[in-house]
This record gives sequence, structure tokens and C-alpha cells, in this order.
Amino acid sequence: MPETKKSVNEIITRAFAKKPRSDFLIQAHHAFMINYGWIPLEEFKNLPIPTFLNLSEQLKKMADEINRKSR
Amino acid sequence: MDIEKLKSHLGKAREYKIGKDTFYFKPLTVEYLPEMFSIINKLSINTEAPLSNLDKESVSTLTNLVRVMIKKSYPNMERDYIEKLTKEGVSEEEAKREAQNTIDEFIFANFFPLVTALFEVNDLGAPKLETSKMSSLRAHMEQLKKAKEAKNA
Repeated sequence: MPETKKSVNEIITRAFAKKPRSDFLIQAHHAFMINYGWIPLEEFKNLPIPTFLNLSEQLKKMADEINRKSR
Repeated sequence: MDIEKLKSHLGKAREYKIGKDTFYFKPLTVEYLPEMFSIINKLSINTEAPLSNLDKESVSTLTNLVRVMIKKSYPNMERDYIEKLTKEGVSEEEAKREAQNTIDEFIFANFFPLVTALFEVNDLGAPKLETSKMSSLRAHMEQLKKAKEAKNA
């Protein structure tokens, strides 16, 4: 698994842990693109919030699993 | 299993009853997430009385989020109403103002069911709205309404 995939958990966790800031969307968009490939910004911004939350949860689970196996 | 729960996970509209009428509200999109989080953060500072954390700016943000939810759920509603009014001879500017005011009045009249729908449909959990704090929030909303009316006058 590439190193970038391992860092997804950290990126998402950091983005969610921080208080809402204008760069939140940039960080979340970046984390999604690392996993899903290129996503045009407009398409990303138009994702329904529940879909975004579900996908984020899946990414977190995947990253947790990768981290667990790498220990 | 409630089918409405499934719909929310698909980003589809969910059914809400306000008074005798049924509405179908769609979730907001990711671009509104920072604003949603800013409201949730404020509501969670004091969980015993979450509404006491809301200042005028937060109420304004919350009102705007509800307005966006309504417009996303019923994208043609405003345009159709403006068309109807202009056919009746009302100027376009006046028709736009009338449509905007009607939506705003609906929000002011049904603020709490709409806020609950906003959090539920976006899968973010409804905040515990304490009834004793509603009056202060309503006062803020009235001020906002008066300010808007004064601006339109």
C-alpha cells in the first residue's frame, strides 16, 4: 500500500479535529482525491453531506485497518 | 427499519410534516459543511442549553442554511411563483421580493421543525432544542426580520 494511503486517516482526523476553517474543504477534497483519484472541485462541493460523511467513515475504517495490519 | 433512514444515506429527500402539509427536504452539499460544523460547535459548547450559545450571527447562518435546504429541495418553487406574479402584472423586482419574503416568513414561522429537519436530513443529529431558550432565539429572529424589512423598504 502506498505511503500516501496510510496518511489518509491522519488527514481526515486532522481536518475533523480542527475547528471549522475555510481550508476544511481543501483538506477534505485532498484526502478524497488521494483515495478516489481526481475529483473536480465542483463535483466534490456538490456531494450530499450524508454521502460525504459515509465515505469519510469508510476511509477512516480502511486507514485504521491498514494501520492495524502494519503494526 | 425506517425507509426514511435509508434515503438520508443516499442523499435523497426525506419526508417531514409541518402542520398538515408534507414536505420533502434534501440534504445540503459539502460546500455548506463548514457552516454546519460551525453551528454544531456552538450548540455543543453548552449541551445543557445549546441555544444559549447561538449569537445573532449563528442564527443568521442557521436561517440561511434552512433557506438553502428549502431552495435545494424545491428548486423551481421561487421561479414559478415569480412567473405567476409577473403574469398577474406584478413587476419582476416586486415579484422577486414577494417570493423571498414568503420563503422567509415560512422559515420564521416554522423555524424549529425546519432546523430539526436540517440536522436530521444531513445525518448530523438533531440538536437538543431547549424550549425555554426558544423565546430568546425568536426575539433574535424578529430583529433579523425587521432589519430585512427595513432594508427592503
